[in-house]
Amino acid sequence: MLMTVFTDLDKWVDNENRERVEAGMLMIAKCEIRVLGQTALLEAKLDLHVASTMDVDVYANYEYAVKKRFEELLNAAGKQLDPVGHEAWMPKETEYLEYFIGDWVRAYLAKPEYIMISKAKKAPTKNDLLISEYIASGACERFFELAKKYQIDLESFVK
Amino acid sequence: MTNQELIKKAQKKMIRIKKQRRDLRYIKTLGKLRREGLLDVRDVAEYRCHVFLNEALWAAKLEPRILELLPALLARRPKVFVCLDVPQELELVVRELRVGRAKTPYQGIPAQNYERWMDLVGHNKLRPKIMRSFRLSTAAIAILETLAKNQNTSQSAIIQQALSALVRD
Repeated sequence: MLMTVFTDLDKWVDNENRERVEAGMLMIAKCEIRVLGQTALLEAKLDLHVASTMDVDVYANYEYAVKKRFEELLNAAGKQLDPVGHEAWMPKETEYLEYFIGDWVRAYLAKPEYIMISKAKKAPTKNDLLISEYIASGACERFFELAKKYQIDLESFVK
Repeated sequence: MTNQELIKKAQKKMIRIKKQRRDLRYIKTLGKLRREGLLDVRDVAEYRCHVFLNEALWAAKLEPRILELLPALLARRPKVFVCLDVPQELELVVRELRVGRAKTPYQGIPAQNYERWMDLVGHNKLRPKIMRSFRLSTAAIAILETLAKNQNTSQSAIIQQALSALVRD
C-alpha cells in the first residue's frame, strides 16, 4: 500500500515541478519521509501478528504542498496521516531501511527493533503482546542492548 | 534473567496467546474491523456478518487497539457491532463523546486518545456538530443577522468564521 502512495507522490512532485519551472516559480525541494510505528512494522512484513489502526506516523521534512498531497494519497488508500505523528518518541540511535527512492521523494522504514523499543518505553500496556511476540521470535541483540540502555523491564512483558 | 531465558519465557507465553487468537470472537472482531477499514491486519480475513459488542470486548483483551476504537465507533457508527448490553463505563464515555465533552478515561485510556478517532471512524469525516445555546445582546443579534444575510450563509457559519479569525490572530 505505502509503496503505491510514495510512487504517486513522487510522480506528483515531478509534474508539479515541471509546471513550476515553466511558470518560472521555485521548485518543490526533495524530501525524506521516515515511517514509524505499526505501519512500518506492517510494511516490513515480519512474521508477527501486527494490527494497525489507520493512522500513519512519520518524521518528514517535506513542504506543506507535499504534506497535503501525501495526506490525500493516504486517505485514498484508507489511511490517515497522524497530525501528531512527528511527536512520537523514537530512540536517538534509530536506523532506517530504504523503502522507496524516487527522484523527489525518499521513504524509509524504521527498523523493527527500534520501533519495539519505542513501544515498550512509551506504551507498554498497549503493546504487551506485540513485544512478547517479538521477543519470542528471537529478538536481535541490539534490541536487548537498547532495552538495557532505556531501562525497559523486559521481564514484565513475558509474565 | 538472560536474553535466552527471556526468549524461552516469551515463547511459552505466546503458545497460550496464539491459542486464544484462534478463538472465533477474536477472528470475527478483527475481521469486522478490517472490513470496515478501521484495522489493518494481514493474517485475519475480512468478516461481514454480525459481531456482538461483548465479543469485541473479549477480543480487546488480546488487541488493546480495539478498546481505543470502541468509544468513537459506538458514538459514530453504532451498527458496526450488535450492542445488546453496553457496559456502564463504555456508555458513559460514548455519551460524553456525543456531546463533545470527553473527559473520563476508558479502561485506562485517556480521553484525548480515544476522542481522536471521532474524526476518523465515521463515513462522513466531519464530526457531528454540537448544539449550544447562548444569550446575545439585541445589537449582537442584529449584526449576526446582517452578516449572515449579506454572505448568504447561516448564523452558525458566521460565528465559526469569527472564531477561526480569532484563533488565527
